[in-house]
Amino acid sequence: MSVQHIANVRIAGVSAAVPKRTLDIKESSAFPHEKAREDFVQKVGIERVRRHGGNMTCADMCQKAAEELMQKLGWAPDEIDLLVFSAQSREYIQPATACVLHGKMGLSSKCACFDIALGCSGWVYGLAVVAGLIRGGGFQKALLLCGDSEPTGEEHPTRADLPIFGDAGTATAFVFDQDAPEIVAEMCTDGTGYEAIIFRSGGMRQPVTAEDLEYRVDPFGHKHRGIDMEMDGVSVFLFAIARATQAVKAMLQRTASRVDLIDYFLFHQANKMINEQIRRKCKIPVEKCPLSLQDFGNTNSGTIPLTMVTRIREQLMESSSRKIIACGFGVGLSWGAVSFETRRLVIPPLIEM
Amino acid sequence: MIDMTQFLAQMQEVLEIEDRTLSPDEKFRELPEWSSLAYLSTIAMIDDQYNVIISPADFRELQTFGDIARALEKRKA
Repeated sequence: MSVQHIANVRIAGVSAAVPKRTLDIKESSAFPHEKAREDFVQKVGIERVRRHGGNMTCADMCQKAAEELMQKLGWAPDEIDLLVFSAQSREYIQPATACVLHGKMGLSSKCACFDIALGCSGWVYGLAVVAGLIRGGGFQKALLLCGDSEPTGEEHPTRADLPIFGDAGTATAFVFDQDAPEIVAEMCTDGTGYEAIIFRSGGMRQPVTAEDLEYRVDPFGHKHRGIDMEMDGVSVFLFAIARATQAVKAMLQRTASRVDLIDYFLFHQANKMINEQIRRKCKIPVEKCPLSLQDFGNTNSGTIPLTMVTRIREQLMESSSRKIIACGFGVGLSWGAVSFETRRLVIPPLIEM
Repeated sequence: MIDMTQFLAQMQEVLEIEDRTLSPDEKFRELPEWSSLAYLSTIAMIDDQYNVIISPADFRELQTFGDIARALEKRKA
């Protein structure tokens, strides 16, 4: 069983940084006609996304979010003993982005740093891994960095031709605390679906060749290069509505909880139709499922912390506790759910860069 | 048994067709209203109303609304 019950770990705070620059769906040239644009906004649920315009990466935004959060928490750089970067927008194939950020942030040589090579399940997996390492007391203060950035920062013609991805960097702070309420986490995988979302070339299996730089049309009619991401949207949709629903129901059962006892359900946001489907199948009232994708799109592993910062910030900062179930799902195929409580979180207002 | 009239009404709602009713022999892929988003809406409706999932490979074989209804029936049984 990949279920962990984790004591002694408290979430201390969360922060998010996004580019100032907004790409409005109304101004996107990706739609063949007006009806397609209206359908996209209504069904996929995205009205605008933030795009950096070529001058920053996911790691830059994560660093800004982390430094702002550390300042508000009163954490000095040499107090951080664990830094995990869990996102697919890595700085380089190697070294690990966490190592690059370690140097830029001036952290101690006694700080453990590594990346988790996952995408949209990255925040939930990252939380489970970070909390699992802290619980014994060997680590006291940890940062989990999640988010996404487009390679060019411009409207990208290759990712399924539609502006569904947005840029963001987030930081979540964890601290060893023997009075912390239990965190319960489940991590799952279906590796037979590894091709459903894939960057085919650039790794050992398929090193980059000159042909990978040329645009081709895939079986789904999308134009992309070998070095770009390929996605089988229908398979991912089916995967998400089945597995996420299952994971949320299992988490409720495992924690002997009920929908009415949970304050918020925070799901990864790639497409509103997926979120609505999970919500309806789990019979969750709409006000318990805050969404930020209308303003930020799919920010990969950043969607859950970004929603915490932009939608329920005041509630999570209060002294009364909030019970939350979160669920992330995506490339791998990988998914996971986590149950945790928040109280007096430190959350700086959304940072714009 | 799947109620064909009901299923067609559900598909009509998914495709946002208001000015006419659909027939079981109609080829849905040829309709201007059919799109990748309409496909996802169809999957969502089938999941909600019939608790059935049709794999992408199986769905590719289906041509008419009647085909979808029969595929649902087979999987519900």
